Amino acid sequence: MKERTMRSSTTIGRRAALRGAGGVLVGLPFLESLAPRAARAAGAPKRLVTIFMPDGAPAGDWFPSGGETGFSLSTILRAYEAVRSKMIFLKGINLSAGNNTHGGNLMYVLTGGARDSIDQVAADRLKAGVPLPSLELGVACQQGSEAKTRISYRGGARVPVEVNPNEVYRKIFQGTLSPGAGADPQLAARLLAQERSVVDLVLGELAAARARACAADRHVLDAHAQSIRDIEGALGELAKAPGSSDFKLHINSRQTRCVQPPISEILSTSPAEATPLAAGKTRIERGAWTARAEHGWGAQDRHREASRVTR
Amino acid sequence: MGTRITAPLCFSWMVAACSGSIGPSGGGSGDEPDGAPAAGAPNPTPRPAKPPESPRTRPAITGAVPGRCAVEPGPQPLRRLTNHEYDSTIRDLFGPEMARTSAGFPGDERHHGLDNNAEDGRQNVLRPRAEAYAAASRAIAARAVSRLATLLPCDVAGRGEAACLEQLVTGFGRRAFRRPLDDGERQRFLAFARTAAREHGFETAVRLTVQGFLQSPQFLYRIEGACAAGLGPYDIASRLSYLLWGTMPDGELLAAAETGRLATADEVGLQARRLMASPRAAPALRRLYELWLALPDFEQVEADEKLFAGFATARPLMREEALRFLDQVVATDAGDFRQLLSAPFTFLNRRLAAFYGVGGSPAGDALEKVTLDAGRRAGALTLGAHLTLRSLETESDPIRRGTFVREQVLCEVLPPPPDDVPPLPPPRAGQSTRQRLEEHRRAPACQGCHALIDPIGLAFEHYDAVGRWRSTQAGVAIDVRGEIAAHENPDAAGRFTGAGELGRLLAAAPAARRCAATHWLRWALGRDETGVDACTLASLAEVLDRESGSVRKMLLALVTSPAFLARRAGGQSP
Repeated sequence: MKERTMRSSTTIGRRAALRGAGGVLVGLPFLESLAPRAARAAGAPKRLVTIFMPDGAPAGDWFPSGGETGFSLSTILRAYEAVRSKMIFLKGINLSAGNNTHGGNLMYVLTGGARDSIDQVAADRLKAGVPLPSLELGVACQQGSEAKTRISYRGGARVPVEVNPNEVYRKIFQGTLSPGAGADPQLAARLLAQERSVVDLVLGELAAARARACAADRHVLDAHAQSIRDIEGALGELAKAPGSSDFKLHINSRQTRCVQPPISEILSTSPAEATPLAAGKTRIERGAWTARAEHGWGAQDRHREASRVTR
Repeated sequence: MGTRITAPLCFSWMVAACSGSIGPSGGGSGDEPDGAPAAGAPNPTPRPAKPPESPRTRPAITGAVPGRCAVEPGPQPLRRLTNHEYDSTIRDLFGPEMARTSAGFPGDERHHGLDNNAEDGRQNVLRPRAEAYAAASRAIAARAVSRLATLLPCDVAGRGEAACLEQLVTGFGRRAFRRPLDDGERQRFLAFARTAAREHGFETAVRLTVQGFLQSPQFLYRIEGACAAGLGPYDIASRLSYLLWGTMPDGELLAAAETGRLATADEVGLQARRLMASPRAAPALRRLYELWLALPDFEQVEADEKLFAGFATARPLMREEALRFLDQVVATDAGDFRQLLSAPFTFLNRRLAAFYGVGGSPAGDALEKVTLDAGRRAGALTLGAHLTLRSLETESDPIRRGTFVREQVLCEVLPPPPDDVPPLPPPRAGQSTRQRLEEHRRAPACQGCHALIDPIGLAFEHYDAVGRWRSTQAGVAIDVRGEIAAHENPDAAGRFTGAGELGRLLAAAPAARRCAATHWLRWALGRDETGVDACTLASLAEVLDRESGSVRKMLLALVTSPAFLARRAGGQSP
């Protein structure tokens, strides 16, 4: 395995610029504006949203014109005019380090070659007090695909994305963790205690298996045990505050297939209090939409075409 | 707007499928010794999980001497049950009504098309999967407990709760773990069950215990004994069963392990024959080739409704056609892998034959075996489902069709496309795809790769984007002359006219036999081939050659080979 490093370059091609910079929008300052006013006043918790859009956007309609500050937003990003002064555009980042460059370099966008991507590192630091350390959403990302176009990694493994809005809703507001007990808090507490006892049993079995396993296999069992411990932590949070929220997730399911949705809608343009972030369920969100894009050979350049209509 | 998923990638590399330079080993690390390594040869480096794609470690199998291979097993990564295996294992544990219990799981990553590669962290259980396991085990256990007498046939009133819980732990546990529990496991599960019974009652205790079994690593992974030890009889039973049946061992196989009847290659061969003689073998053997073709993606493919009227209704028939074909050529006793690449027949009914526009139409609604023009047919390579999967929304895609032959039929590695690819010029009126590709190849940066890919893919130009027959393309007469240019396998090189000749060239190529053996080794062991597998692969390819392409005979040789029956002491790291 050749060492791969991130190198920067001042003279790069259009495509590299699109892949490197255009594909990622760092949205932290942007999201602050979505937090409820009260929360902002009290000092909102730190949050991070990363969005990946494959193949970039038409460069002329994406990058702003003007100088480093006081620039004018492009066609695609005009909707963000209200937060223009807080936006930063990166250009000229070359992530192709010699080997597989087309698609392969997406692995470096958020990892820089490390085993964990920055969203997962941030999730680990910011997860206290929320049941979901991070939320991975995808639109039209094929399940089970040879997922070269994932940007989120944990321990070197690609973090799967959830593509079904109903599952997302269930996960956030009904919980896949707890069996659920309706309105009876006593029953809920008992079911939660049962669930936690199974988690303890499983953690014990993982430890026993690890002791017998070969060194090379331990990282697999370790990663699994970490996942279970995360669940254990989340069950702890649930125990403190059982019950569900009256949150409504505003995702138009029609948009999850075929048509590239305005992803900002999924993440934020529903009423601010109704985003998973604002509801205090998580602090990290990652969105991606992939697949379905065909360009160049014989087909229309629909993908980039679609990015023009983002509201 | 109709769009479609064609490649098993989140986006196509095709626009950039073009390279200025082709290395001699095409991205392989090139550090494998020639031929079978001598005893004591350095082991390949272990592959820790990491985000970057690892370059293929390619065995140099040419020149290896077939015959008995040295007892030097390759590395064996820890394998997790795939979603598909999870489903069939749950079904066998609880009954046929527990179907598709993995529906909410994250997908298994595919590597070389297969969904069971356990290397490079592909099977790591991250939190979404762990949560899905928890949710599934909750649902499964609750359903199982609702029919307690079936799950645990134990007279609680007569024998007492404690005895019945013990029966659950040792009896159900043995089937869930595919081996008897060791003392520590038995004590831990019994203690858990007893505590749960005390706190929540007997039935809840049974449910929670089953939940615990189904989330335990001994169930979810194929943990093969302690690291220091070699393979035990139960490990071999599971290897056999998951390879030949795609599921957990049955009672007889577990009994054979228990009574020491899996100790020799002959005894293993006897069980393998029994498993392959069962009707349960066919779908499991076919599964590898379903993944090879990426058939699970076929349901998601969409085609332009205006251009391809009737595709939506033909689609389920096309899928059925592919499954019937694969059954015939790989899963039956007479199965001959060469037919995969060259069979002139397929399975059609009246409607499907009309949709494709082929002659000799069957009259009825049931799919039947139909033999077509041998010059036009190349087995699976001319199946409608395959051709549609390797097409664009509105037009055939010779690049994907050619790449499939290079990568999946010959197991060759094509160099990745370079950084900066000039955009393809839009098609001009009256210009065929062949002409457009020829223009494209004149660019020196594109020539290297596309001279390998395009001429093969263009052999299928008579088949449009949904596999229908046509005599012209873009108004231009179709020219199906081409050649397999020598790349990694000079023994596969040759000229052909049309899909039929191309298929026969491939079916006769030693490289295609080696590639078929390679797919099965990867599938059987959940890992890529390495240098230590050279001798095994050469032997298996030789069995295919000698035994008229019989997949079953090759499998028998595989499951009785040291590569399958032995494990490197101390695991995969040296």
